[in-house]
Amino acid sequence: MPLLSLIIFLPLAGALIILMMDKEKTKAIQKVGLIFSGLALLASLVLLIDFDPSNSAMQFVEEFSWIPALNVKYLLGADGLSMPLMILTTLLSFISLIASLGIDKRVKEYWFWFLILEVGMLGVFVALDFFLFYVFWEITLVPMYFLIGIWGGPQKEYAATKFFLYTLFGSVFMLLSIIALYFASEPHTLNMLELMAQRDAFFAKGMTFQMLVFLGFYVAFAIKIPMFPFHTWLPLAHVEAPTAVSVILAGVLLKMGGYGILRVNLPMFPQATEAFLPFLIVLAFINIFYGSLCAMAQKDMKRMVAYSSINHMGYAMLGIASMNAIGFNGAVFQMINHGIITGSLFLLVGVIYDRTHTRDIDAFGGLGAKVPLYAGVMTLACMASLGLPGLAGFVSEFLCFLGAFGPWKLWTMLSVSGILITAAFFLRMIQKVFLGPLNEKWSGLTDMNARELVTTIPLAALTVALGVYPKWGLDLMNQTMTSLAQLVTKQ
Amino acid sequence: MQILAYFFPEIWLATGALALLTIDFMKPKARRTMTAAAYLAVAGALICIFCPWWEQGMGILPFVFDDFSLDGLTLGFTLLILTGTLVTIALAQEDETLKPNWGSFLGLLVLASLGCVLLVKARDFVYAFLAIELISISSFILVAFERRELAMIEGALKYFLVGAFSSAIALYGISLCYAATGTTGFGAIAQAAAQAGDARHWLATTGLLLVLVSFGFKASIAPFHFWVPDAYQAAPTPFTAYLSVVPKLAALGVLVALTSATFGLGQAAIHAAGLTKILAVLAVLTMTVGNVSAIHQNDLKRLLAYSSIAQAGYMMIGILAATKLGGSAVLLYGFAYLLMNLGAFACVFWVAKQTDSYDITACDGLAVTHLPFALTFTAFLLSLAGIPPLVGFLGKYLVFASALDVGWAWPVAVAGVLNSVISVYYYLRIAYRMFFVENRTGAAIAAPQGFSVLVLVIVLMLIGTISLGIYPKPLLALVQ
Repeated sequence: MPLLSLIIFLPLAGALIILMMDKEKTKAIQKVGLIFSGLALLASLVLLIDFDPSNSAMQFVEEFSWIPALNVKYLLGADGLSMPLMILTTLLSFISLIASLGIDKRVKEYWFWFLILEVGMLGVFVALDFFLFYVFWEITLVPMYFLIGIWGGPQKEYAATKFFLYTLFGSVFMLLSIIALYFASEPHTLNMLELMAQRDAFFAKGMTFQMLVFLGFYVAFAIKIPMFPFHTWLPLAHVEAPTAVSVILAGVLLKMGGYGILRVNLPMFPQATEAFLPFLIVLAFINIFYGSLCAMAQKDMKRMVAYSSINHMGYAMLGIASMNAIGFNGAVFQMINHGIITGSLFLLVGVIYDRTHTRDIDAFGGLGAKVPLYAGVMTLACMASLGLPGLAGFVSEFLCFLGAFGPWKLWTMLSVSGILITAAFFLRMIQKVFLGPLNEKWSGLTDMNARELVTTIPLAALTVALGVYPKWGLDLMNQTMTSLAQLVTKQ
Repeated sequence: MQILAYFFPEIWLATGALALLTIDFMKPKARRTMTAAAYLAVAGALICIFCPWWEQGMGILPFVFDDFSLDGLTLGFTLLILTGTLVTIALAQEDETLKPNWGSFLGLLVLASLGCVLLVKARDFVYAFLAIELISISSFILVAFERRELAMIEGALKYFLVGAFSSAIALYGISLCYAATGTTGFGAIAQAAAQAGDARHWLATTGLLLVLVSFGFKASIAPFHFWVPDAYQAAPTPFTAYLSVVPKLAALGVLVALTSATFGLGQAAIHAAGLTKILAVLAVLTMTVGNVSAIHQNDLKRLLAYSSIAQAGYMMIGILAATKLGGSAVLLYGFAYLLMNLGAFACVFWVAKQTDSYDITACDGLAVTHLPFALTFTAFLLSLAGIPPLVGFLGKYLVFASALDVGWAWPVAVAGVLNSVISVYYYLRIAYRMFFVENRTGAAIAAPQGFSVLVLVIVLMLIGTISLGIYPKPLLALVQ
């Protein structure tokens, strides 16, 4: 059974059904959306059971000719790199859709765009043909534009346009690189696996060629991650987007960048990677340090979480720059954990914003006693984000540092400062919001309702589970990362 | 008689045009008859394309004479021209202002298409020039069809003056080529120039450049594009749609033939390398000027006019590559462009019919009141911007691929992709008005109407834009 296609196109089916429904029937629309997104989640869990983690090759491969004249194939497959990201996508999409039940403005359009977005994200992680990859990559842009632009905050139009143009700017260079690879390969192909096998041919074309193509891909991926200095779209988009969309932005879309670097840049251009490695490690450090400092300076909780994303993706880049299996494992695990933890942080910020219509850290105080449940879940998420041992974030950050320490002692040592700053701003937030005397203005505040608990508790449980027993997640990717590390170091 | 079979489409079109003008003269009120006759003329010509095959089997292509040729490229462009004309007639049916002179409108339209069909077939400067004149004279009249406002007359006059000027340049270029080589055939000039001495060689190259420039007027290549926005705004919308697609594609089609005939012989044959560099600069200029100027347009027709300039720039990339891939890229882009640009114009026309305004604010809040329409219009715009999986992306992909294939042209491809980023900004401005801005005027657009020819056109273009984007196999088979 073509399970991968099924997972990708279930949300599409849902979207098309919603498109045909009457826009007044919001309940039915929400039901259809939840059913199809839920089915995709279920199917991806079935996939997880069938997945053989001890095999580093592509599994569940589906292949048929799509545009023979251009050697374009419909080629899907999953390995230890795609698998966890795929589960993350289906899970976060489903949870975000539950969190979106509160949206009552133009419901039909919202659910339509959201499901289309899910199609694009899932496709990116399993497409193994560059043409197909690019198509899915671009499909994510359009729904995101509308989701931010229609349902976002005060500056939504500006944020949406900036997001679209910024990301497109990166991806067009990726397109040129893809075409260049196509003509550099013999026979011409767009199949990522075949191109990987032909990487010596790219080397033979000269270092300039390899470096230009590397940069073309890197710009596209770096904008997504986002790597300094391409990060300026992120705070704006994350803050202006509605809660559920912020979850997807931080939880999944940023991972497309990290995924791309691991899938394309490293294995296809080992020589260029080596040449750029000193820059990558410095950029990773800047992301960690600068991102955390920016987060510290924020008074708006959502902005703070948004900047902390830059910091956290910096750890992942640190792991990638380590060029060894431990670092890669750490990087992928960090991406997963960041998705889960930051996803729940955005949801939780949304919870308080819905009630108080402010996100100003200084506006609160003493909420811990008033809304104990909320305080508990929020504290857990913050602790996980700052890397408290026993929670998921610690394991992956530790692995990233461990992997990077061998080759990059100085930069790794400097990067550890990021943990310190992260701890500082999260603890300061907890102190200002939950501790101290109660701000009387919020004496009528109610605790989390059932819908909010349903969205946040599973993520909190996962955070604890992956922190206590990380083997569960790491086993999934370890084999693939080990062979990837061999692939990039063996030249 | 055999040769005549290759001209059945032209004969059919000419007969149709004359018949239309006659009916208009004899029975000016018989509009239904005229509409039917116009459809018959164009559809008949469409069928006639396949006449040579019918008579002599499939193996006949390519059929090349000194003066004209019937190869895959010609066939593809002819198909484009006639399809575009059919759609234009359908759009024109919805335009009430054309009704008083319906017969002459249709007759001239068919005549212009006749010129286009001849143009893509031409492989000789004299033929090409005559065809261009036929297109131009018909178009001059059609642009000035509605003379309600002074601006309309201004646009038409500009178009006429620039057009007449470009014809003069073409004639001068042709005469230079003839002086240098003693011939007017595309291929013959290149061959003769290759054998001639250096001075004549330069003469022929200069002549060729002048001809290219003059064709550039028709295809709205910068810096010869100044007539475009004014003429597009002045013309009745269905004819604007026509002008942006059909004559432009015909001019680009003959440019493909001209460059592949003259540059194809290698660099020694003619100063081809120099000319391709000039074309490369023109392509980049065209894209950039079109896109940057479009950003500030608030009139939908002007916006699409500048966008169509930029689109011609993308197609120029395939032309300057002067390879087989480049040729089929232009043709494929042509098909994509036909679908999405006519679709976009049909949508603008739809908006204008509902609100009686071509201002971009007419689109405000359409997503709330007319979601299917807003999504459709957005699909056309995104396709023009080259976002997959719509058909416009495929065209861009092939065009950029043809540039990277040639090697030296990669900077043009970089300029091309940067331009598509710019273009997204103004295409999305329309989507922005439809989706993000609420309709402030309160004058709610009339409830969705039932079936009309206009809706049918929009739906057909949408189906083409999406389905050929997802499943382009038949289109590619046709193009190659």
